[in-house]
Amino acid sequence: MIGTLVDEYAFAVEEGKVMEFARAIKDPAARYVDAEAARDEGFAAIPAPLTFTVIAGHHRDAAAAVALLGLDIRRVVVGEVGWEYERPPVVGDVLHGRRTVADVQRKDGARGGTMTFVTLATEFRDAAEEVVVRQREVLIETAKASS
Amino acid sequence: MSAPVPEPEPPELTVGPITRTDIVRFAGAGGDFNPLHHDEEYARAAGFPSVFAMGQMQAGMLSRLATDWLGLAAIESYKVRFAAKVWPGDVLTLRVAEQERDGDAVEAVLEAVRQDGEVAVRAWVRAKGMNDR
Repeated sequence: MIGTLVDEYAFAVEEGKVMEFARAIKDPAARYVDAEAARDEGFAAIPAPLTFTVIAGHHRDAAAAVALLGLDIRRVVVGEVGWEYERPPVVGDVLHGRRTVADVQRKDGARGGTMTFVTLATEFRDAAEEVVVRQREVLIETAKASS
Repeated sequence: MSAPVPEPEPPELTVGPITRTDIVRFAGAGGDFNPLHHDEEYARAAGFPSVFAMGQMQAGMLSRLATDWLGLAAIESYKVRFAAKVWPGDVLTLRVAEQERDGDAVEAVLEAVRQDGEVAVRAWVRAKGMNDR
């Protein structure tokens, strides 16, 4: 299962989307809405907030991904998510994300059954195919309730 | 550009009370349309007292503490672990829980804490060359 391609998609880092996302996380920093403020901080264009690749949710099908992994969506929660940055994505980038299975662990649940931990790794590459952001997320399938 | 040494730690930030509108706004921004986060009847039928925020909402809110403090360009990594749910009406305090410095590098643990003292989300951030890229 390790190495399995879960999904693949591309999206543009759009000015309006960055503004909308910054508002949604209640970050009033000028760099997210004003190109001049962004340039003053040394960015070539308006940068995206740290967790911006979350908007990939618009471009992929969570239920299909969980089904592909053979997990029961009613018992799946996201335990942790991490990002590593080569550089912040900026408006004008087109990011291509490719998400694969990096690790699978099974543990006995505290009340019987088995818990499954699936680590997914996504590389977001720009038009020059350089990696911009690496994302890792751990999905946890909780143990089936014993009846 | 010179690299100003960041303040020992940033001031605490407070967000909230979180409203259903905040949650819906984040759903639209992020593309998370799981009905547990916007459909009250669905959430109750699933055994929850009301809708609740997706962890990524508070993870994003907490990221502001990191970028205000260390500078967006200096941050090399940001990782979050979801610990407790955030409900409508909750007020979150964003704060630095731990930090370690080595020259111009900083590693810190950040927390978003609910008004009842529960940590909703914890974040690990690593930064280098503050405001120098």
